[in-house]
Amino acid sequence: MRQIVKPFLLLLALSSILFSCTKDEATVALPVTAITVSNLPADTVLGINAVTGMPFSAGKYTFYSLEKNAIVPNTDSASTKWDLAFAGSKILTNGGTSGIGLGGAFIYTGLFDDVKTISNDSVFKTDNAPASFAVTFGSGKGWYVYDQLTSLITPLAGRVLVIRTASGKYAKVEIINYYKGGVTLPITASDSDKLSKQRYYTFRYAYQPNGSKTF
Amino acid sequence: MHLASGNGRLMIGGIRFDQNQTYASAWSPKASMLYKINKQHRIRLSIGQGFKAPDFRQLYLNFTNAAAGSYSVFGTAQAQKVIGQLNSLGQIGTLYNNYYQLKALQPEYATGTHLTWEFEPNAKSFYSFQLFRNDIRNLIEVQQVGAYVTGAQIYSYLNIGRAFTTGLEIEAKHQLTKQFSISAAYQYLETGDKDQLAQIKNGTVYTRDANGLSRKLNVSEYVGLPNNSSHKAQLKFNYSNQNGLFGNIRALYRSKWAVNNTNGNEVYDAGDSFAKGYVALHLSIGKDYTNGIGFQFGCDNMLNYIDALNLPNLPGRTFFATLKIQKSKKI
Repeated sequence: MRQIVKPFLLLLALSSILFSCTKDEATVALPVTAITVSNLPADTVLGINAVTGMPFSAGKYTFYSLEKNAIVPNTDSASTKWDLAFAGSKILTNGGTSGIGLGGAFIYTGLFDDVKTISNDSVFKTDNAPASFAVTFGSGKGWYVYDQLTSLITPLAGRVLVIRTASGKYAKVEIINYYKGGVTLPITASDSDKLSKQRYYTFRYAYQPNGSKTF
Repeated sequence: MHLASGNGRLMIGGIRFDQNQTYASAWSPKASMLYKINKQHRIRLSIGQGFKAPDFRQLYLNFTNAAAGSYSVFGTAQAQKVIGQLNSLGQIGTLYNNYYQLKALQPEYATGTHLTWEFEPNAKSFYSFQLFRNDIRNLIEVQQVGAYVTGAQIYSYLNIGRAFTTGLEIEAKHQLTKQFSISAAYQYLETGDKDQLAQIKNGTVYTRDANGLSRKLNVSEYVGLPNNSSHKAQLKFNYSNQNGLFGNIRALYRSKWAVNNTNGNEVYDAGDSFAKGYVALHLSIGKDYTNGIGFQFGCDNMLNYIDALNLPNLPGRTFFATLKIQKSKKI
């Protein structure tokens, strides 16, 4: 009896391995590689108003396409060509009050590499200006902290912006730095450096073009 | 309260009760024990609870800094009333969850245990080794509790933390000759916030690697509470003779300490910004005369160590001279 059972079990085991192999190959998409974007200007400070003493900028967003990995001209702001828009520490998604796309986002606490699949019960928020934004705005509330004492903005470690793009696809973004050259200025830097070298984003992202929620 | 003695053992216990109209009352019990092993060795053990009452600022401050973004700080005794009034005037933008937790501040409680071994080999030398541990409950901390419509922050004070300080202290004194003596002291200190340590162990605190990418923080990178140095040391040479001439030279060392949280998490760790460790050298020489006149001169911070950002109270090299005249009538 034993002699018959053993080969039968082996056959069963083999067939299950074969079966699972073919199934995996059919559904697993190509791995998504992370792309790093450096020194993306986001409404940088142009100077200081001689009368009010306040810094001023052009007051314009920088629109970005995660699909194309490129800046989108401001003339296309009312289109679905862009996925994220940056101005100062504010980040918009192309949806809700900000755009005509399907865009939305939420902030995940954890590591970039740990966001492998967006679970189906995850809730994407949409922009609802001026009350709330999908990428929460404000020190300590979203992706950064602002230190009153040093006037420096530091992106919080362990925060991933999970993005639904204008066309309804998915991406994950980690903001790495907010200063020109990708290095936060020292506390002792001059006030003029702290103003002129801020608002330059360095971030990495992974974009899933096939529409699935898996990276 | 003298509890027991005999065979070189002595136990002392005590308790203190403080009552105040503004903050809660507090009991401070303390027990200490002295055990004389022989003429040269003594062991001391003390366990006690102390408390620090909230100060005036933490209770009653009503301060708005118009020069720096118009943020406000309100003491807890009035915070909810003042913020409530501002809210009814439509000036409050957001109130955080901790605003609703504002209540009468409790005193900070510290439970301390100190174990000391004193060694006196002869009349000229003295050594002491101490281990200590303090656990602090209800640490009073300033926190943002909301924001104005303009975005300016509103701060108040809350009892939150569970902190600890632990370490060791070594002290040595030696009389070299009749005129010269030398003394040295060293302290090793570890501090920490127990809640933060638990979060780090759970893997929910992050930091950044050399490329700026997030990773989990290791417990070994945690430096504890800010403004505390791990190592502190003092070395002092002393001279005094029968004619009233005296002089001393003191070297004080302090190792680096965390000052700002700069790497994007809420805990102080190896990746944050530190003030550099330093040595300050002070010298003074003087003479006292029997007729009540005395003079002294010297130099503080001889090495001219300056760190204006982190040590505003340490000016550069400072020379000083003092003259004193003392008149006393014999009764």
